[in-house]
Amino acid sequence: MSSRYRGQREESFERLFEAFYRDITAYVARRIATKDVDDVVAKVFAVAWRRFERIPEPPDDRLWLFGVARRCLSDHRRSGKRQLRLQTRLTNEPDAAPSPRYSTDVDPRLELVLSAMAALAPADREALQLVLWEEMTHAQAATILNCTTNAFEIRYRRARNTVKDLVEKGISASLEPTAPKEESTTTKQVPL
Amino acid sequence: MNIETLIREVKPVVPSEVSTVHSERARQILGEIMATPRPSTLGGALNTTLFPRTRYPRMYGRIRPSFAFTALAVVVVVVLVTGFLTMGSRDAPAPKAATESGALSFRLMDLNSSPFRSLSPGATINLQCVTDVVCYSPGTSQNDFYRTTDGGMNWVQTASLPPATGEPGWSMLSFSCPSVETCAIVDVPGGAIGAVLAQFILTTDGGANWTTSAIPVPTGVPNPSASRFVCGDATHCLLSVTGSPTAASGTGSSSPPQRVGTFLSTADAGLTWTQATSVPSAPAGAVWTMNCSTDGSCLAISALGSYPKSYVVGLRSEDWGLTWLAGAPAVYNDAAVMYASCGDTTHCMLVPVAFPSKVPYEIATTSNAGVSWQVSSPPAGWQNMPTAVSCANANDCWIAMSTYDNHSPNGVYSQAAIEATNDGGTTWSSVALPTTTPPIGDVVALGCPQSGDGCMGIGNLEDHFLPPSGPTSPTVPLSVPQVISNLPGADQSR
Repeated sequence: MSSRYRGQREESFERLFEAFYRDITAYVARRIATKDVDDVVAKVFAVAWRRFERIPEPPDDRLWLFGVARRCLSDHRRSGKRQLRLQTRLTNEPDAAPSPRYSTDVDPRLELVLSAMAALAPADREALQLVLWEEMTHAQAATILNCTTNAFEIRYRRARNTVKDLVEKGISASLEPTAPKEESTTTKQVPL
Repeated sequence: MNIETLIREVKPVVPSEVSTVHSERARQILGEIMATPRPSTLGGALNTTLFPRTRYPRMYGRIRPSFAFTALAVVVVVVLVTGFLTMGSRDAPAPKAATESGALSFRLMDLNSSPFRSLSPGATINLQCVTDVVCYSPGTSQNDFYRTTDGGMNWVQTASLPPATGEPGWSMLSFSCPSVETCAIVDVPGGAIGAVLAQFILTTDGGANWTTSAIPVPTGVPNPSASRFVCGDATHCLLSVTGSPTAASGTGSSSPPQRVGTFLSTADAGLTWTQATSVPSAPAGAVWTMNCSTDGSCLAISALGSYPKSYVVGLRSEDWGLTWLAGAPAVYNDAAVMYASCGDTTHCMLVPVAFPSKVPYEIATTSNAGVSWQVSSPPAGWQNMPTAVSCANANDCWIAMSTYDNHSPNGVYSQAAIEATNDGGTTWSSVALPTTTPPIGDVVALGCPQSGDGCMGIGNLEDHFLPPSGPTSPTVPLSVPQVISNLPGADQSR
């Protein structure tokens, strides 16, 4: 590898890093404890550095990085060294999580929203967060989650409706953190 | 309640010192990464220091054999199922039985300022909700326009619409509101077409001010008249034009003449209009509903033919309506399309109402801009007459229906019901209507914003019109139409 090529590569990588460091860090920081953010972000960009030739052209490079970040977060959660799960962070560890920007004094429903989100299946929760927290379009989020847009929309809608149902029913502290809500399929009995 | 807004509210704030790219920690990370030696070949072993617990070292690019077989099996099943569903539309399975809806029930809205009075039974009325709280409608007027910004609690008449110039008897044909502040109205003359085909009336400030411009007469369309109208954004609007050619000479046939039509589009908020350069004339002259998205793609659904051979055709444009391609027609042997709504430019739902034979009506859906259709009978228990359909987006649609009996002492329309689907028509669930005395007989309009949170509707009570020949038939309606809504933005205390 020539020094000239190496220099171009490093320069390009620095531009990539500067362009997306904030986005990736924010994405990671909203999902794990603050003390672990740097480790995961470093992993994300380490993957990018090592696989630089495989990073797609803009604007898909951003989605590619989010996909890597999602995998790194998944690895992080599997790690036995780190026991913090998203729902734990959402519900039981306010000190380790970034500050919420809301006040439950202003709107007590927000606590219900958090609890309802914690009750979602991880994939459904991620669908909501990608769109509503990371400002992704459905197509972009589908790319990150490696599914079709249609499949993503179904997942997103299911998650949104579940949260909506739970909030409306006032379920909060008693939520089981790992039980996604199943849609009922009762038969309607309406005579002609 | 807009649940998406609430979820955004709980988005954690990331401290700026954590995410600033110029922070000491960020520079440290960058330095450490770039000091890491790269493997000499792509796909080489990952740095175990950086990735000590990665279960599958190859994160991208390769597929594990077991996953490949699973994926292949899934693809085969999906292809077979999809092909089965779309091959023979009449063989498509009926929608699953209704489920208990998680949506809000419909509630009565304030009638103090309602513009929805003097509705005829079964009448249609235009109602469009841009968001959960902002809706527009002309009410029962042909020359006024109303707006609500609180989910239907209060309706305020906009500034007076500018009078059509030079022609008496103009009336509103249609309107389209691509945003909360922007609405466009098409007015058409009551008499013969003169120098202009129609008038384009636009507001960009919620109805405080209106501007007008003329829509020219297209060429090559005999006896043209404006038909359907939609705006994709604040500057791009589309108007379908239908013609009425004289009967083909020399045929002596009693069959109706071939339909003709075209499209006119504007890209400058109505200042200039361009006629489509490539368009299938017959379907363009029989458009039932249209939808345009902000990327310039447009879909028009046309209903052609007549009993016993009526059919629908999907027309697709990718350039704001300048050029069009028609899909294959789907034939309905015993029905004529009566209600149609497209949630976006690929998903539509039609409710073809049959002639009095077989099932009273059907539900046809497309998810590919009319390339193929899935047709099914309504689930058991549904009333026999649809009265409105509205799709908010690709998945969320609502159908209003009633029991229609022009000899019933309860009224021509009774037992109104609304069914909702969140999966494009595969499954349906009932949404409760408000309890009134007498009950709501028919819901004549549904306006469902793109959010998919719910709809606003206009309903008549059962005594609105009793059977015209019945012994208790009044000469005037006993009640006025009611505004109902299950949108979360509307008052929920009622």
